[in-house]
Amino acid sequence: MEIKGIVRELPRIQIREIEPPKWLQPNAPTENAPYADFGAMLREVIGQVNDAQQHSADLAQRFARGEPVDEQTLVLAMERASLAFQLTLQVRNKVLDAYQEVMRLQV
Amino acid sequence: MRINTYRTFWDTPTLQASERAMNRATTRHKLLAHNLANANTPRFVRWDLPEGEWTPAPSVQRALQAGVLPLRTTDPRHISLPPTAQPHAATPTPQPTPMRTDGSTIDPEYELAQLAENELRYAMLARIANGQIRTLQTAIREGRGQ
Amino acid sequence: MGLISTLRASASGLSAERLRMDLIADNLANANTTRTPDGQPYRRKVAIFEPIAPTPRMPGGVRVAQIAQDASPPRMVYDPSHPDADPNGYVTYPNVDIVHEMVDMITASRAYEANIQAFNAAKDMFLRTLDIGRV
Repeated sequence: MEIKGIVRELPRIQIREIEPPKWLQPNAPTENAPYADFGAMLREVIGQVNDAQQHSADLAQRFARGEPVDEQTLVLAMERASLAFQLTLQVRNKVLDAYQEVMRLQV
Repeated sequence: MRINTYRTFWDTPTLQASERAMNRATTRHKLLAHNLANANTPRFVRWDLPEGEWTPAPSVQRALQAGVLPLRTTDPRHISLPPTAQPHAATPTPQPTPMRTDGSTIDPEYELAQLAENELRYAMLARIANGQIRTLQTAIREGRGQ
Repeated sequence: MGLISTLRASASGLSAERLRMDLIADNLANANTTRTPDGQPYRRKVAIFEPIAPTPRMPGGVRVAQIAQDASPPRMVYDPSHPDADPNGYVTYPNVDIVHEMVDMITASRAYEANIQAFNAAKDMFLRTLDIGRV
């Protein structure tokens, strides 16, 4: 029987520590590492969007107060924030569309 | 586990490069304008950025964004700058200029030529940045609508 | 403030050169004034330029530290019949050299125009920046 065969082989099986894949290692290089799950990615990206908006608002307020802010820095920060926001909107629309499509599915 | 934050969708290498180059062009303009304002100041030594330094160090970048001109001080009378900014971004360059008896090193024609080149370069960089941003906008909109 | 503040630097250059041209005009007009209201012959006026130290809000420029009188010796012309002749018959004429003033005037006006170019360049760069991202 197979089980007997396996039991016979047990002493010869060596338990080795298998190296976890790179992306699960705690100190792995973070460039191009895949996300743990969709939720984590979403949270991270929303954080980045928020950072971009904050940065842009901060620069704009400093400029309005008369502090020395380079114009191109301000404009590019504003444009980046705008792009980030547009992307968020589109993603939201897509998610909504997907949800509605799923709801429409006939069971 | 840290997630990839090296680059985001809306901050491409093109945008980063063009922003750095525009920062440098702005700094260069400040220096050239200062030179030209002092075209007739006796014993004035012209300021300029070193050749080929189109990607300044991050500390210099921060200093520029803080609005402080990074200056190398070779003379105690020169303006000093915060220790966080690296020196050697803007240097006085004793340009050998003929025909100036008052000791000034400013040749207005040379300054104007540099000014024009700087301006055109900036215009091109602005166009590059603009193109990149519009491309990203179109990508977001998937080519539909405006 | 970047480019916007360089407008002030260029404007300072314009003011300084303008003042210099005013002084030159004054010198030329009084090139032969042997007696000013204070009794002395006219002395050549000269503007002392000084660079403005760059700060975050004001990236440099130039200022007129003072309007000084040229200390070089006056022109002595032998003319005993002149009402302002001294006991030896010499008249003290202002230390204004017309040729020198004309050269200064050309330099000043050249610098003035150069500063206008710098001013326009800053304005152009700024307006282009505003158009980034606009459809």
